[in-house]
Amino acid sequence: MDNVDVTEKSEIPKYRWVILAVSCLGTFSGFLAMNSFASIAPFLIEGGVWSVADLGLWSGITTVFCTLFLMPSGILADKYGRKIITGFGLIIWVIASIIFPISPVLKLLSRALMGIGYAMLWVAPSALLVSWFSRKPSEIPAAIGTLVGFWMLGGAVTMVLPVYLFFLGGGLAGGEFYTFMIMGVIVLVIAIVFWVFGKEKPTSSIGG
Amino acid sequence: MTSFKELTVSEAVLKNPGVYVTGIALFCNFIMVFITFIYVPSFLAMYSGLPPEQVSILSFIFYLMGFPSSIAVGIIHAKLKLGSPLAAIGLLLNAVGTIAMLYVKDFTSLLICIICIGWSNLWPSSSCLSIAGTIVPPKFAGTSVGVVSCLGFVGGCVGSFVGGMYMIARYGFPAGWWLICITSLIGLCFAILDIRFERRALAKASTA
Repeated sequence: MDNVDVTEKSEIPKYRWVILAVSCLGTFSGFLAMNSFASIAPFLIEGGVWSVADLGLWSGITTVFCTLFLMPSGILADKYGRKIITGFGLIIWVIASIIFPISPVLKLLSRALMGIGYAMLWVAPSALLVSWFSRKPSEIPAAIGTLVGFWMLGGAVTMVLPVYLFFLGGGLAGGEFYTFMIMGVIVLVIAIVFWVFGKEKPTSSIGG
Repeated sequence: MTSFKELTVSEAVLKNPGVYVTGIALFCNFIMVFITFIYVPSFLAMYSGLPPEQVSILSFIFYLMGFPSSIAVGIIHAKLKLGSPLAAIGLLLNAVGTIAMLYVKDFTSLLICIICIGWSNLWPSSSCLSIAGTIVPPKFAGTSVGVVSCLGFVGGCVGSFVGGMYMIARYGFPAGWWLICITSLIGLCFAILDIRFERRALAKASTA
């Protein structure tokens, strides 16, 4: 069953903390998936594999697609469920991470998919927390603040982990492929954890 | 009085001026955030005259600051019951930190600036997302966060393309920093204006 039953209307579900934890895990993986290319870029540019123009193009594509899909993501999250849209965003990231190192054309597609996934992950977990914390609205800002904080923790980890993986995978000879595959696997594990523990609403039906 | 349950998306979100005021505050914040995310590390590397290991430490601290700061602002927001003043303070701190960064060269002073910018960078984002989620009935939280974030990410595109690629490339780092400062101050005005809408929404929610 997708929801947690709350018999008393006034009851504040303790499961909200689990929802906060899995939502934070989801957003944490956001920067890992999206910005890994930036931290290994200096080595690949120096090796003549990528150019500075490539980086600008990839960042731009992601930002534009993210901007375009933010509003539709919000509407879809309200209509079909915030858990579904968050999970969908995570799966998009897994696919985008895996296809990124394969070919130049797939790199562009990957960055566009990253933008769409980013839009979903930016909007849906915030709305999910609002549903879970709405019985104690005073906690909503703290929950959303924590969620935003995990984006940034992901950002800090992104400055270290991809570089380590890049050299572990052989540097210029295969390091790029290895890094993005591992990132894809990490996000996949997080997506599974989110899907297992994430619940739509603290009521017996989605409509509440 | 129209109850929350009878409201449509249009009435609850699209005709709600508070959503747009919050969105414009986030728009200004994201111009600044997108420039600082890209250019704080490059500014440190190219303009500060510091050795590479100190640049790495400062860049890492810059990203890492966002984690405790977002959680802190969420908790303070929850205690104060109002997020707009915190967004305004965050924007002001950013403006001060970025201007100061132009005029200092030693590691300790730059560290103080980095902490100031990194600490306040996501205060407005965290507050605006919470406001977007709570200013409308929970049922429409996704759409509201989507609309506000969309305005924010349009600011992100402006920050990346106009601020990052054009102004800084053409006129140098000081031009970018002054752009950050000006947008922070405009955002500050909207964050102050948002106090009224947030208070009204809170009052409405408590009587509904």
